[in-house]
Amino acid sequence: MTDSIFDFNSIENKLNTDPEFAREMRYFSGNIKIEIETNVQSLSYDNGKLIEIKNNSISDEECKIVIKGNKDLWINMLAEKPKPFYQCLQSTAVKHGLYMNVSNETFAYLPALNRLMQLMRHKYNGGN
Amino acid sequence: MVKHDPIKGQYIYLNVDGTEYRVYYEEAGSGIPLLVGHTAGSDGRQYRHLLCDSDVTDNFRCIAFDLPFHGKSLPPYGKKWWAEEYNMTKKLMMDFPNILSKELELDRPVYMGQSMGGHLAIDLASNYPDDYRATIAVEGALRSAAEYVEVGMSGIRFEFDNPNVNRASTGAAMMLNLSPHSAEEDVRETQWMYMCGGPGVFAGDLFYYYYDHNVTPEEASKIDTNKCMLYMLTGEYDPNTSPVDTQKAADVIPGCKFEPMEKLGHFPIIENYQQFKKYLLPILEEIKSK
Repeated sequence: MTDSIFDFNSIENKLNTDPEFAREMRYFSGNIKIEIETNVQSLSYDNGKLIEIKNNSISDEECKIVIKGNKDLWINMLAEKPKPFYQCLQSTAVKHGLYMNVSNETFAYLPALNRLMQLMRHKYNGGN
Repeated sequence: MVKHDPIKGQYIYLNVDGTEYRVYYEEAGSGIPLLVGHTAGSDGRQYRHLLCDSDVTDNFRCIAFDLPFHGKSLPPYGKKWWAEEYNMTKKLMMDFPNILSKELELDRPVYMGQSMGGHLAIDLASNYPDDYRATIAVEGALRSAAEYVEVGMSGIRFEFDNPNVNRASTGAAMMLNLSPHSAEEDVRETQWMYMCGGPGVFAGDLFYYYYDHNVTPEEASKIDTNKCMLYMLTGEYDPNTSPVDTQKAADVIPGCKFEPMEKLGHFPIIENYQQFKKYLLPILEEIKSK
């Protein structure tokens, strides 16, 4: 459990079974760090398979993909129909100050990150 | 019963600066010629809904072309294009519709384009007002948003022309330009067209979109909308050319008309054509009445 506005454990099953997300994570090994205000969660992968969801601090250097934003940014991004420029991670980064690291993996796994946002948004708005 | 779209396509050979290009275009309708230009890294398929819309094609001969290196327009045969980095320039952007119009013997067509095609609408109105009766900039501005311009071509190539990143990511990146009000089928189709692009072409197109297109307020103030009327439409969800950016152009171009568009992003013509059409039809009606 976490005191964050979003708990990745709540979508663990989706992370493993959603056909699009599972496909787009193919071959990925390493950590994805997601920081919501001061809450840090990370998804640990090995060759495209989710190994663990961690709810503790992890350094950016240990992660291939890092996304950080305050609570307000995430609430706006998770809205069912976000206001202009909160429509996805990248637009929120460019126009509203969300942090995304610049790495090969961040760009290569952008299809997966987009799908992850869809799954998060769906759950946040009362979906399964 | 066989179902067809009312679209006919063919190839034309265009000579631009001594190079022969085999250019694909497709058309539908009859009446006032309407040349339509696609966005960076995509192709003329973006106009498939417009070309099938009798509310437009009853009075306009709509011609959608694929720039070389895009869609069904291959790189120029006989030129060692693989030995040089692809970059789209303002001159080439203007040359292709100009020469296509001349070869098809069009009578002062209307030009409409979105994204880099939208920027081009402003460049054509500024540089070739005698050759077009009107231009329509969809997501156009004097310059693209500063946050993106500041990334630089090296940053652009790292994201969009990177051997470690496949072209599915170029499609995924377009999510930032798409409105959350657009139907998922249309969002995915828009992204698909980007995933189909040639290697390095989207990044190279951005050379024009972010850098070679740079209209000063002084140049913009001289655009003669009595000769070539300039219409501008911009979606509220477009971070690359926001309504604020387009408004800056509208503020300095005498006589132009600008309308922000609700619930639309950077690709109005393909991401939500029915919503876009509400803004387009009054413009076409005005052009028709002149």
